[in-house]
Order: sequence, then structure tokens, then C-alpha cells
Amino acid sequence: MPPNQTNLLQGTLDMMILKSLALAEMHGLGISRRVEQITKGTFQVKPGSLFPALHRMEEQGWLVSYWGESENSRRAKYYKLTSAGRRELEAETERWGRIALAITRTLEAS
Amino acid sequence: MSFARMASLLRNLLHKQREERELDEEVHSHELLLVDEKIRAGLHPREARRQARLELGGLEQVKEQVREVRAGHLLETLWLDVRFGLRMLRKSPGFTTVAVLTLALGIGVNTTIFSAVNAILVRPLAYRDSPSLVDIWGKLEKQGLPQLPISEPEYWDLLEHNESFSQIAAYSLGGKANLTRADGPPEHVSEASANADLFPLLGIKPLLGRSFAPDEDQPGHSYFALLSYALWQGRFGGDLSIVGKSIHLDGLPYAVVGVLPKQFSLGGKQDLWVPLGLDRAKPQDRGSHYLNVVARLKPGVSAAQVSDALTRFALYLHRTYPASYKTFDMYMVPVKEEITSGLRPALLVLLSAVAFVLLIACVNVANLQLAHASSRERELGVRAALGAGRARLVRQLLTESLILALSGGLFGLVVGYLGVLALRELAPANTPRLDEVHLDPVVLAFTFGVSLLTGLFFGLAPAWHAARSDLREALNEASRGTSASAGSRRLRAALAVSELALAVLLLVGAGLVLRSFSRLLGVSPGFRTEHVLTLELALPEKAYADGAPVQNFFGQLMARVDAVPGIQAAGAVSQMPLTDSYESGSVFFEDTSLADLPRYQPFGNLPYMEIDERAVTPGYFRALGIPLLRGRLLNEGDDANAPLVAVVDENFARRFWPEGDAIGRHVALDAIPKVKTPAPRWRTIVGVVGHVKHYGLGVQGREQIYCPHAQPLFGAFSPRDMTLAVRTSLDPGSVTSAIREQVLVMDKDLPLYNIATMDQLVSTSVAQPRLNLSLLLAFAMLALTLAAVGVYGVMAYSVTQRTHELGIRMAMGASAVNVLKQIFLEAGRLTALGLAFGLFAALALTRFMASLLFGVEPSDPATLGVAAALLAFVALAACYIPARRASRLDPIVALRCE
Repeated sequence: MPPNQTNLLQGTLDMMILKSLALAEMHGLGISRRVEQITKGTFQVKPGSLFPALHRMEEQGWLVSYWGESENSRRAKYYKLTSAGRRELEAETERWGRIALAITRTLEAS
Repeated sequence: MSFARMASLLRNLLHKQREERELDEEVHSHELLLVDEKIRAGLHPREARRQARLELGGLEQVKEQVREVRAGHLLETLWLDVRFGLRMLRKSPGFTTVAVLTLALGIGVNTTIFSAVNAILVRPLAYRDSPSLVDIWGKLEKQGLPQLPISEPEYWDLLEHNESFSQIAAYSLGGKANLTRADGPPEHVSEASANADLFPLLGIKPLLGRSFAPDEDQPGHSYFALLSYALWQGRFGGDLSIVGKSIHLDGLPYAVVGVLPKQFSLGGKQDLWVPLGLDRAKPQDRGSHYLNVVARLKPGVSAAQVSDALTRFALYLHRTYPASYKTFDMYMVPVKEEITSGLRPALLVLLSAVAFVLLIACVNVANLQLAHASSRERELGVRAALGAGRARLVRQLLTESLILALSGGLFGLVVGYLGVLALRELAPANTPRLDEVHLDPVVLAFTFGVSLLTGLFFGLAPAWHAARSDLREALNEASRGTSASAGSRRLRAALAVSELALAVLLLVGAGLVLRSFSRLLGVSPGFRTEHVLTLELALPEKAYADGAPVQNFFGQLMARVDAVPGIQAAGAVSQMPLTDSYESGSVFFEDTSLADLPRYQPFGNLPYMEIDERAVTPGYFRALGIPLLRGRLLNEGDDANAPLVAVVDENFARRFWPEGDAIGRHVALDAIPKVKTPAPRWRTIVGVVGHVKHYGLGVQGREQIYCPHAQPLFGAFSPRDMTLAVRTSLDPGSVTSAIREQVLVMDKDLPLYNIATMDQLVSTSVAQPRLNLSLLLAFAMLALTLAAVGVYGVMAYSVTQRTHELGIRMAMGASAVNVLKQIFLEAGRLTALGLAFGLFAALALTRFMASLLFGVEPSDPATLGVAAALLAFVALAACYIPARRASRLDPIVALRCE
């Protein structure tokens, strides 16, 4: 477990999950590993945060789930982005870009 | 809430089990996937499983975290709390029964009194836009006439100079008629007169037919009638084709134009209405004040503006008719205030009383719950140890309190409904708006609201206590089974003290009203009330012309009645004391030493004063037992041919001739031009009798003058409506039929009505204070009982909690007496504190009920003392059982008791 464990903001976690699912439909562990991979291990998504987030987003209609078979033939619950989820991801990405830019500017100002 | 979220909520609530199963499977499959991953990375399967578990961080916790974000989570825990709460309450039926019963009584009496307050004081009257309706009155303060009806010329002037009102109408009350018909005995009815503008102004549409048309409201053409709902139902059997039919009043035919709605009432209950038929061309005298005037305010006109306008109008009258007006003024009263202002003080006092009762009930239940909660401390401790948050425990306790409160409210509705029935039965029949008192949606909402508030209020103490207490200690304490924490005991003691204080307050209030009532009953009415029967009859104008025919009829009738066997004395009077009938008029003085009396120009600037005037037959004083103080009573010789005489009461004699004798002085009743007397007709005062309480035992009435009925009072006029007073020890029923026989022999169309014994009249006259008293006494007894239960609860609990300690004391040699003394000392301290607070509150608050008191100061020391003693006795009696139990403890058993 890396010492610099980052406390994920809920919105950030949602965004990363949505981003991961934008590329492919995945089950929970897949999403977890995908986020770790993209962020090169900066973010580790633990089940205690992952599952509540998935269920919440499903209730909001951004995701749908179905039971499928994993690569090593285990039954697993897969998640898939809906069009509402895709719109949400776009909105979040755009918002994040604005915030990141603003923060960068603030920090670079002398 | 989005549609998706709503759908999830439904799914979560309806398919809870399926959702749970899916969640379980998902988390499980996640674990298996993790294990697979670890094995692929080269770990031994057992190590892989261990690491997977570690990474997962607890299956149950993950599932709980998912559940918490789900839609409907709050609802679900609430449901759990409710179910758990119900189970807990079922588990202790004794506690639950006492708590619900206490609350039901507290909430029930509030429901009853609130429904009365709502119906009488709050709800608008059943007229169109009733808040803008006002009554217009004149006043002659100096002459002792604070509320004077309006005269015809004043009414016409007001219509002409009206600035503030959009509509004005006139009516007149107090009329009487004999409803006669071929197929039955004559019946007396009350008859009011209205002009054509009245019903449109009030916005009253008749149930059948219509109200009076302007051309029906004309002098000499006014033989039309509007029936009340009650008369239509009772006398005419609800005949749907009544409109257009003819009825006979005093032998004359009247065409029925309509039937008024059931809920309509104006100036009390009237049997029927006829047109007023005012003659603008030939109005009555300016001084003849008999019209009730009601008006609708123009929108946006303030009360102050209207008052100013009415005063300006009165000044205009002074300028224009200086001979008729000296001190006359005019004012208005909102119609609702006019009707209900008499009941307002009593209702507000009763409402406060039931609020205090409910407070006591709340405190009682809070106390019960605290005792109950301390036996649950262990349970709460265990739940806390298993991870229930403090907020969760508080919510659980509050939920239980609310369940209790709402059950209490439900039973309270039943109590309240019974209370309303009882109230309508017990209240005097002439209580305004009594038939509007019932449980309507507003009352139901009130009861629901009060129940919720009650639950929060009495739930706070145990919840606060649970939130504060150290749960680990609770576990320890429970295991030790020793005395409750000091904090909890202090809280419970404080609650008992406040309960006692509230009970003292109610006891003092009820005590003051009780003493007032006994003072009121102790007042002598000025005559002997026992064995007197009263009966009223009125001679119609058509059959009996003014003067001799009326006088002769009553002269002969009294001779016949005197001859009825078993009648000791009989007389008749124009207005019987303690009935709603009263009459006053100006009495002029030939000479009086009083300088500050108002004077009247037209007859040589004579001093005059408003006096209660009565016409009587000679036997009246003996029949009622009114004592003669000086001079002589009236007798048969004082007839139309004899010199005019009068008898006055002691107050009259004392006020106008404070020095010297009233006997032999001259007064006149008809020294005003309207009776077309060329000069004042002086009467000689021949006797002074005792004062009679005419308006009620507690009311200071005007001075009284009695004139012989056989001598016309004004012009040729003698009253045609007289009430007989008959002194007899025979059964009132048989005497009534004997008298009725004599009346019917003289005139077969004359009904006798308002038949009552004098004792009944006295009883009716104090019906309102008696009802106040009964209600306040009932509430005070309820409060006392609840407070006693409260004190008992605290002391019994204290003894139980201290069994161990008391056991040690007794083992160490304390005697039973010592233990008793200790328990009573503790109870005594609570009682003394409660008494101190309660008496202090009583001294501060009872002055607000001064208007309900009679002959008793709000701070009456005797009442305060008796209330305090009663409460102290009851409180100490309540702790007798726990104290005795403590003193009989067997030390060995007590020490073993865990």
C-alpha cells in the first residue's frame, strides 16, 4: 500500500470510473485495476469506495449493470456507460479542465 | 429527485430481497476475482485468499456502505426504528398503557377545549365576508346607557351621511307573537323584524323561497314572514311547499316568503322574521331607541376612521337637533366581537388550563420514559458497543416517543370527541355558536400537531439523557445494578417538581373559581326563590287595544288565579328577574338634591335618569317575597281612577334622596313629547322595597321603580306582555294546568310559555359560571391525579434503585422509622419545591382570570393555602406505598438483590 494514499474526492472518483468505462465495459475489479493503471498507482480504488459509487451512479442512471463472464470464466457483474453517463463524463471533463487550469494559473502566478 | 432515482427507490423498497442477493453475489464474485488475480501472480492459494480478504476490507462493511448510498435508506431505517419501537412498547405493556392513557387524557381535553375555542372565537361567522360586518350603537354614558340601539330618525340620517359603509341595514329583536291555527293549541313564538336590506347585506340566502322584497318592507303592508329552520321543521313538519302559504300570527294572516338556512342565527335564536316596515315619512321619536343597526365596512376603511366618522355623525346630530342631544355618542363593534366577547375570558382561561394539564401529562410520560430508559441502559449500551451511533440511538428513542404520542393522540381524539358531546350537553343553551362546536379538519390538524409536539417534548428528556450518558459506564452500572446516576436522578426530580408546580397552579385556579361560585350562590337575589312558579303570556294588539282592555284582562286573570286552591300568593310583572327580559326608561324628578343629573329641556329642564321600570299587579311583591322597607305596597285600590303612585327600591331611594325620605316625592315616567302628554304626569312614591337582582346574582343592576299595571305607564299604555309569579307548595305541573285553564276560559287563543320555577331561573342564570367551574375542577383533579402518579413514580423508582443502599443502611442498624423518615424527607423536598414554584406562578398568573372571579381576590390567601395543603397531602400520600415498601425491606434480601 503506497504511503501517499490520496483521499479521493467523490466527484473525482466518479469521473475516473466513468472514464474507465468509456473505453470498455468492465466489472468492479477491472475498473479498480484500470484506474490504478491509468494513474500509475497514484489512485487505489478500494471496494469500500468503489461499490457505493457504482451503485449510486447506477441509481442515477449513468451506468447499467449486467451479469457476464470474466476472462477466466467467472460470473461477474459488468458495468456499462449509458448515454446519460457519457454526457455526465463530458460535463465533468470540461469542468475539471476549467478547475485544473484555474488552479495551475493560481499556483504559477507570482 | 430524478425519474431514475425514483425508480430505484421503488425497486429498493419493493424488491429488497432480490437487491440484497445481487449485492451479496457481486461482492462475493469480486472476492473470487481478487483471489484468482493473486494466484495468477504466483501466490499460494491460502495466502491469496488472505490477501484478497485484506484488500476487500470486510464483506459486511462494504455491503453496509453500499446500502447507505441507496435510495430510500433513511425511510428504511425509520421503518426499522418504528418496528423496533413497537416491539419495545409491546414488551412493557404496563408502561405503554399508562403513558398512552396519560397522553390521551391530556390531548383529549385539549381537543375538546380547542374545538370550542375554534368554533366560537376563531372561525368566521356564517355570514358573507363576516369580518367586515359591524354593529352600530349609540351611547349615553352619563345616563347609564353604554349601549343604546338607534332610533328611526337617526337611522335615516345615518343613511344620508354615510361615509364608511358599503351597506347598512336595520332589524329589531324581542318581538313576540302567538302562532295560532285551527287544528291545535296556540303557540308562542319569538318574532324579529328585518328591513329588506338585512339578508342581502349578511349574504344569507333562504333555504326555500326568498328574503323580503323592498315592496314587502313597507308600513302597513308588512304581512310577510320568513321562518327559521327550527320552526319550519318543528311546527310545519318541513313542508316543502310552505312558501306562499299563510300562517296566523296573533290571528292575522302572514304570507310565508321563505325558510332561513339551518345555521342562520342573529341576536340569538329567532323563530321567525317579519318585515320591519319603517315609515320614512312618519318616523318615530328621536329618543325612541329600538333599532339594531348592522353595516358592512367599505374595503380599506380602518376601524379608527369609522370611529371618527361615527363621532362626527353624532356631533352633526347635536348641532342639528340641539333639543334632543346633549351627550349622545356613537360607536361600532365588530359583529363577531359582539357575539363572542362575553365568552372569550372563560375560554382562554380554560385553554390555558388544558395546556397546563397537557404539560403535566408530558412531564409524567417523560418521567416514566426515563425510568423505563434506565432499565434499558444495558440494551442501549450493547447496541452502542455493536456500532450504533449516538445519533442513531437518539433517533430510535425519539421514534418511540412519537409512536407513544401519536397513539395518545388517537385515543385523545376519542376522549376529545366525548368531551365535545359532554360540553354541548352541559353548556347553557344560549351559549353563542354552541351548535358549531365539533371536531372539524382544523381541530383534527390541531390534535395531530399537538400530538407530534408532545412526542418531541417528552421524548427530548430521555433522548438527551441517552445521548449524554457514557454508554460504557451504562454497561458497567447495569451490571452492578446500583443507584442511577446523579444526573438522571436530578433530571427526574426536576420533572416531578415542575409537575407539582403546574398542579398547584391549576388547583389554585379551580379553587378561586369554586370560591367565586359559592360566593355567587350566597348572594341573596332580594326575594324568596323557593316554591315560586313563573309563567308568561302576551295579549295580541289586535284583540286587546291599549289601556283598559289590557289592564282589565290582567286584573281579572289575577283574581281568577288567586282563587285557584293551593296558591298562596300570585302577581304579575312586566319583566321577571333573572330572565333575559329587561326594560328601562327615563324617570323624571320633581325635586332631588342631586345636582349632577342630566336635564331634559322640553318639560321645564327636568332632571332625569335611566331607571328599570316595571309594571306589576299588587300581589307581585308577596308572591316573590320582596320585603317592604318603608311606606306601603301597591294594592287593588291603585287603579286607573286613583291618583298615580309608585313603589321604588332601596337603591333608588338612597341614590336620589340620600338625606330625607323618598316617600311622598313625585316622579314621572312619561314626561316626553312622544306620548303626547301635555304636562308631566307626576306619581307619588308610596313605598320603598328591597332591591332585586334582576340581571344575575353577580350583577349590579339599575335602580328600580314599580308602577301599578292598572294605571297606564305612558299615555294609555300598560304592558301587554306579563309574567305571572305564583307562590305555591303544590306540584308546578298541576298548578300550571289550573292556571292555563283559567287563561283559556278568558281567551282560547292565548298560550302560556316560558314556564319555569324560580329555582330553575336562578340555576339557569348561573349556568355559565357553573360550567366554567365544573370544567376547571375536572382539569384540576386530572392534574392532581397525574402529578400524584408522577410523584409516586419518582419515589417508587428511587426506592427500587436504592434497595441495595437501603439494605446496607438497615444492616448497619438503621430502623424502619429511619428509612421512612429518609424517604419522606426526599419526597417532602420535592413537594416543597413544587409548592414554592407553583404558588409563585399562581400569584403571577391568576390575575389574568380576574374577570371570571366574583368576590374573591386572585391572590386569595385561603385558596392558595388550601390548594397547597391539598397538593402536599396528595403528594405525600402518593409516596406512602414506596416508603412503606422501603421500611419493610429485609436487609438480607435487599443486599442479595442484583
